Amino acid sequence: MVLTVGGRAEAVDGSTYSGTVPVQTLPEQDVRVEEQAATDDAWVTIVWNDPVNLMTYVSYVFRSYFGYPALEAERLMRQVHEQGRAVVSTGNREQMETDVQAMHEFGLWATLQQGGR
Amino acid sequence: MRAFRPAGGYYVAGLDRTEREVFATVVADVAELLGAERFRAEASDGEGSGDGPVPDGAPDGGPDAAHPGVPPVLLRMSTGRVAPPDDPAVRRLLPDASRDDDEVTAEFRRLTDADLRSTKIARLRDLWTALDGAQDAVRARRLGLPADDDEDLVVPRGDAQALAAGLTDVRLVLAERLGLRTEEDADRLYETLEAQAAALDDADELDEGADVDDDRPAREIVAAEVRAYLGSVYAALTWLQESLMALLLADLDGGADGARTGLD
Repeated sequence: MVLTVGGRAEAVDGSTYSGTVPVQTLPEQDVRVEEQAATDDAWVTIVWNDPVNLMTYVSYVFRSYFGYPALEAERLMRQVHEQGRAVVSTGNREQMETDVQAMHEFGLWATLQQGGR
Repeated sequence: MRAFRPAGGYYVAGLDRTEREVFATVVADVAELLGAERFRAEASDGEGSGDGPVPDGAPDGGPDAAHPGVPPVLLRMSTGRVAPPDDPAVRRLLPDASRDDDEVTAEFRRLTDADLRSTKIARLRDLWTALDGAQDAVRARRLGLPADDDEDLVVPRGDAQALAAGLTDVRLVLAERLGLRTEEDADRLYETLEAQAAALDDADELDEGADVDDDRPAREIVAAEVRAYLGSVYAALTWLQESLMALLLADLDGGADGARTGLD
């Protein structure tokens, strides 16, 4: 994921684009290991890291589509960013197909699979 | 280019004519990759920018009337196998739904491919329309926004999420063409862009002395120029989307109205 940072490139209200935007990878952070609520026969939706999607955008998608509170959405976003992937929802296959389709609509790279793994 | 800012029920960014045209072209290109017809301005637009012949006399929705682009819902799901896209950029927009189960991937494509394509194309069409400066000038006037300095890109708040998703699709395609597979690739792109910007500054000072000692084959120079062009579009759209995300996240936090209006 991409985090744009820094003074002159900061995209705040009405600021002016300076032509270059630095990209920075966040430092390692201690992230809780995902508690796998999924049983073996349940299906899960997994979102994978990519170098294009903005961290703010991924957080926004997790909040607006799944309804995660801000902190949980942020935690899942960081897990995707730092560990390469995160389980973002659990259910039956049809439900996970719906979630994966929604993620693809948003341009996130998502897959479904059976079992938490 | 000026970042998105809130203005009443709208988000407004400042783009000049060149930026609009460059972005609109890329947006239309991405829609074509997804199977859309080339986007064209509405017939009412008198001052076309002269980018090719515009078929005249076609009534609203003319070519589509006899041949609807979007089939009825029941016909959208394929009954047979839907092949994965050959173009890796399109495949990034419509990725495999399973990493190791071909049956899951095939079934997902059969169920969703047409819907995903039409959703993405419709969003890109809206983005392309929003980039049409003539329309926005009219809207800005209606809103009482100053339409003199910048040609503002005006987006109703309710459409901002779709616009962000459309920007994402465009950036995903550009990134694939630029070969951005890892975050290090992205870092390198930005380093290159900064170096090129610095070189351009130098060339300006030397007044056209830029390519005198460039002994690379012409093909390589062209490839590098295309890459620089796509890279700068990618960087600019990334910046623009980042500014929009700050506002959308603030909206989710409930700080939508009032909070920012007093800050000028």
